Amino acid sequence: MKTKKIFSSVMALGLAMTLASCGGGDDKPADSKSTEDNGSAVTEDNTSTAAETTEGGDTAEDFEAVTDDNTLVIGVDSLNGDFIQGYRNDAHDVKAREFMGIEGSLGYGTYIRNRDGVYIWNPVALKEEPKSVKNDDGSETTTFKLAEDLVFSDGSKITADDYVMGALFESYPNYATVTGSSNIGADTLKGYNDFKEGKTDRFAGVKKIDDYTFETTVDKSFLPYYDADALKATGPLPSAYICPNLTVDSNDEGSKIVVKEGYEVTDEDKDNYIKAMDTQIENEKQNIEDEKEYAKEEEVSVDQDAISEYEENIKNLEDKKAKAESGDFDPTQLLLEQAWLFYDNDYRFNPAVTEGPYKFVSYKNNMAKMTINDKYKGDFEGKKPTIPNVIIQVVNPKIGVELLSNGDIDIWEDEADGGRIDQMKKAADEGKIGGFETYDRDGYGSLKFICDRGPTQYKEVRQAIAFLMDRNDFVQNFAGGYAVVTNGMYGSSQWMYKERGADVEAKLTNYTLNIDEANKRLDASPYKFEKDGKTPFDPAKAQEAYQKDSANFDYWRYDKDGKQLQVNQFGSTDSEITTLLNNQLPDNAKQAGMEYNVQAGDFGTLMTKLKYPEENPDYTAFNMGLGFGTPFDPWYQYSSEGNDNDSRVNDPECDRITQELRTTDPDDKEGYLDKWEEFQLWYNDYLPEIPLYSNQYHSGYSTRVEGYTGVTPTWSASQQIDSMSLK
Amino acid sequence: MLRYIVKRLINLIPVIIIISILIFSLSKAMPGDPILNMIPREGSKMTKKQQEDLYKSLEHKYGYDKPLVQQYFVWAGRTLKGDYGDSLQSRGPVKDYLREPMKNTIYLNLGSSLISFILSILIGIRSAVHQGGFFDRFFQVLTLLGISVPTFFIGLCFIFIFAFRLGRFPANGMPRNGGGKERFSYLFLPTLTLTVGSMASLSRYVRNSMLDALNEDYIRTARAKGLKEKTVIYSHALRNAMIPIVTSFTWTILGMFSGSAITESVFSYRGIGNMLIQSVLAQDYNVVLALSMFYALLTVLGNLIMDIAYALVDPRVKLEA
Repeated sequence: MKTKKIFSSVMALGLAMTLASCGGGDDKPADSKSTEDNGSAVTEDNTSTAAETTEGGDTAEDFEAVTDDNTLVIGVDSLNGDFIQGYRNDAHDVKAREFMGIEGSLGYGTYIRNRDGVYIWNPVALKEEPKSVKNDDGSETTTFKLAEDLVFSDGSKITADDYVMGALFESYPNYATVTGSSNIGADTLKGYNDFKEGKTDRFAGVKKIDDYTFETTVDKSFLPYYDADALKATGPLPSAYICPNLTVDSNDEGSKIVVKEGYEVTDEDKDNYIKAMDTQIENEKQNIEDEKEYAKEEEVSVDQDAISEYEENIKNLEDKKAKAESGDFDPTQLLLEQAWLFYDNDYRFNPAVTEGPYKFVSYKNNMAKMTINDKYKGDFEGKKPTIPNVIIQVVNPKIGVELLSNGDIDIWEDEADGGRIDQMKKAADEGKIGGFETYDRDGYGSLKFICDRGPTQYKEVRQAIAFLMDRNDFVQNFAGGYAVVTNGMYGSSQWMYKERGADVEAKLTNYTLNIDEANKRLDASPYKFEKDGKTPFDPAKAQEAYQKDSANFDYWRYDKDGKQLQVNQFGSTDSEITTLLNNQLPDNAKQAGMEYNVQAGDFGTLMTKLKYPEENPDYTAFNMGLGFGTPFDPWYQYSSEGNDNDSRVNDPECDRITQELRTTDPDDKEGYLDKWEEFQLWYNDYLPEIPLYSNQYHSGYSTRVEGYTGVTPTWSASQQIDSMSLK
Repeated sequence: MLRYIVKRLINLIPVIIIISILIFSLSKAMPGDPILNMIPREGSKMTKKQQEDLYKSLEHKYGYDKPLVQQYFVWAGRTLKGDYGDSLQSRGPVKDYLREPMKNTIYLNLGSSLISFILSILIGIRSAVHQGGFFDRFFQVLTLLGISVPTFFIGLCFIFIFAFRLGRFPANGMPRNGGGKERFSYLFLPTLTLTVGSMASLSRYVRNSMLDALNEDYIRTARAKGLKEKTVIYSHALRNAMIPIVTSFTWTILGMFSGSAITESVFSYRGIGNMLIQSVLAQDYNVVLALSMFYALLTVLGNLIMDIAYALVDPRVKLEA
C-alpha cells in the first residue's frame, strides 16, 4: 500500500514538474508579425493593419476557446508551414492555402477550377463575364470588371490595384534572387521576358483601367492554348498589407510598381539604399573574380565581354550610389525588395491578410489553425463555410484510420495503403466512421529514366525493362489491390480518360512480365552481342546459365565495343517500391542478359542524380511518384524545350505532339482528344518512364462530419469545406 | 573543486574543436545537394536559365560556393556568436526553427527522467533488499520486458490501451489549445513510454549495484554494530551503490534527447529527435550541425557533471586540479 502511494506520488510529481515547466499557452496571434524587415514607415502602417484585424473579431485568444463541437480537425502526415507558393511544395501546405484562398477555387481568382477541374470565370470576384479580344500582333487581351464589394479578411477593400500588383510583384527582375522563391510571376503575359530581364520598366501584359477594372494580355507565343482560361487566371495580392508604401502605375505601355504619393524618404531608406548598392557592387566584383577563376581552372581565355558587362554594371551602381549620397534616388526598388523580403520571411509563415473562407490564426507544433473569415463573400457556387474553426494537424500516418475511428481527427485523406484502406472500410461498415470517398490518383508511381545517356538512352532497353517486371505485383503487394496499372500518362479521374480511355487503352502495349519479349527488344538495341562484341547474344544460353546457377550468373549482353549492358537504378529508402523492384528486376534481368542493380538512398540524393546527371552517369533509372499537373500540359515534362524535362527527352516527334496538344483551339475538343491519344501512343512506345501503379485513394470522415462528398484528386476537404458541416 | 572544473572546461576546448571539425567534415561528406533540395521539385515553370540563376543565388546566399575550409571557419565563427545560420528547409534562422521542438523535447524528457530516476531507485532498492521475493521477481520480469520490447511497440500499446480502448488520453499529436490540463493529457502517453524504457534498465542497474553493496563487509559490520536496517540500507549501502547509478542516469538523460526520436515519431510529437532525422533526410546541414554539436556538447558536459556528481555522492572521490 505504502509502495503504491510512493509510486503514484512520484508519477504525479514528475508530470506536475513537466506541466509546470510547460508554462502557459503562447500561441502567436496572426497579427503579431515582426515589422522590422519592412522599414520604419511600414511599421506604422502595419501596426494599424494589425489593430484593425484584432478589432475585426477573431484572434488567437478567441480561437483558444475551440471545442470539439466547433472545430474540424484534418489529420495529415506532414506540414511545413509554407503558406505561399515557391518554396517547399508540401501537398498539405497547399490545403491550408486553399482554406485561406491563397490557392484553389474558393478565393477571388479571376478564373478558377470547378469540381470537374475545368477553368471557369469566377462570378463572385467579377461583376460580369470577362471579355477577350484578339490583337493584331496575335496576343489576346481580356478585360476584367471586379465586383465592388470584395474585401480581404482584415476588412480592407480589394481593388484592381491588388490584382495588377499580383501580376507584377513576382514578375520583377531579381525577385527570385532576393527571395530564393521559385515562382517566376506572370510568364504567360505579353512583355514578360523583356520585363523580367530588365529591358523594359513596365510590364506590357497587365494594365489597370480604373479602381475596379483591369486587363491582362496573353502573349502570342502561348496562343492558341487549349486551356486558355488558365493563362488568364490571376488573383489579388493584399498589397496594402504586404507593400503599404507602394502602388501600381499603368499607362498604354503597361504597368509598374511605384512609391505611393506622399511617401517621404527617410534617412534609414537612404542608408539601406546605399548598403544595397554596396552589396551589388561587391557581387559584381565577385562575378569578375569568379569569371577569372573559371578561366584559370578551365584553362580558357577570360570572357572579356562578360568582364566589360560587369565593369559597366559596377560603374552604373557607383553612379547611383553617388546620387543617393547627395539625396537624389528613387526608393522604389528598395521598398520593393523590403516588401519581397517581408513576403518571403513573414507573410510566408504568417499570412495575416487573406481572402478565402478561413483566415490564419497560427502555425505552431506542426499544426495550422484557421478560423472562419466573416468577411468572406462566398464561393462560386454561392456557398459560405459554417464550421467555425479548422485545424490541420500532423499525426502518425500509420494510425490515421484509428484516429479517425476514435474521433481524434475528422478527416483522413488520400490513404493508399491496402491494409489501412481495408481498416477504413471495416470502420465504415461498423459505423465507427461516417464513411469514405474513393477516387483514382492524378498521377502514379513510376520508374523514370534518363533518356539521353547511359544504356537507358535506347528505347529498346527501356521497353525491355518494362517487360522484365510484374507490375500487378506492385498493385497487390504495395497497394493491397487498391491501384491500377496504366500504360500511359493518364488517370481515370481525368476527363480525357473518361472520354477516350477505352479507345486508347486498346491501342497501347500492355507491358507484362515476358522474358522472351524483353530479349527481342534488346536484340534490336546495340546490346546484342556477347563479350567479344561480335558473337550474337543467345537468350537460350542466358536461360541455361540462369537455371544452372542464378547467383553466379555471368552471361551478359555487350555492344559492339564490348561495353556491358548494365542499368543502375536509384530509389528512395523510404519507398517500399524500391524493395519490390529490387526483389524483381535484378533477377529477371539476368535472363535477358542485363545486369540490373538497385541502390537505395535518400530522396535528396536521388533528385541530385536525376536533375544533374554526369556525362557518364552512375544511375539512369529512378523510382519516384509523379503528378499530372493542372492544366494537363506534358510539354513541360517531355518536350526538349520543356522546363521540367528531367527525363531529358529529346525527340522531335514528342516536341511536335506536345506542342500541337497544348496549342489546340479551345473550342476543338475532339481535336484535343485526338492529340491526347497520339501523345499516349508516343509515351507508351518511347517510355520516358514506366508507370508502375496508380493508386485508388480512400478518404475517410468521422461520424459527425456532413457534406464530405464528391471529393476528387483535385477537390479535397479544403475545397469542399463550404459544403461541409459538423453534427 | 572550482579549480578542477575550470581546468576541465579549458581541457574541453581542443576536444570541442576536434569534434566540430569531425562533425563538419562528416556533414559535408553526406551525399546529395542541399541547394537543390531547397528548390521545389515539381510545379515550377522556371526555365533552365532561371533555375541555374536561382541555384547560384541560393548557393551564394548560404555560402556553399566557398571553399570547404572557409565554410568551416565561417560556420565556427558564427556558431561561437550563437548564430547557427539559416535552416535550408524553413530558410529562417536555425535558432528559431529549433526553439519550439527543443522546448517540447525538454518538457518531455524532464518529466520522464525524473519519474524514471525516482522509481528506479525505489524499485531497485526494494528488489535488492527483498531479493528473490515476489516484488523482485515481478519487476525482474517487467523490466526485462521493458528492455526487450522496442519503444515504438510500447508506445503503440499504450496508444491502443489508454487512447483507443479506455479513451483516457489523446493518441497523437500536440495539444491543440495549450491549456495546462490539455498539455498534461497530451504529454502523458509519450512520457509514460519514455519512462518505461529508461526505468527498465536503470532499475536493474540500481538493483545490481545495491546487491553488490549489500554483500560488502562493511554492511555486515554495520548490521553487527546493531544499526537500524534503514540506516544500513540508505546511509551505507545506497551511498556506495550510487556511483554506477549516477553514471547510468547521466547517460540515460543524454540518450533521451536523441533516443526520444522514436517516441516522438510514434506520437507525432514535435521534438528535436524527430527533427534531426528529418533534417538529415532533407540535407539541412545547418540544423544537422547545430543538433550534432548540441549532442556532442551535452556528452562532454555530461562527463564533467558525472565527475562532479561522483564527488558529491562518494566522499572517497577527490577532484584535484
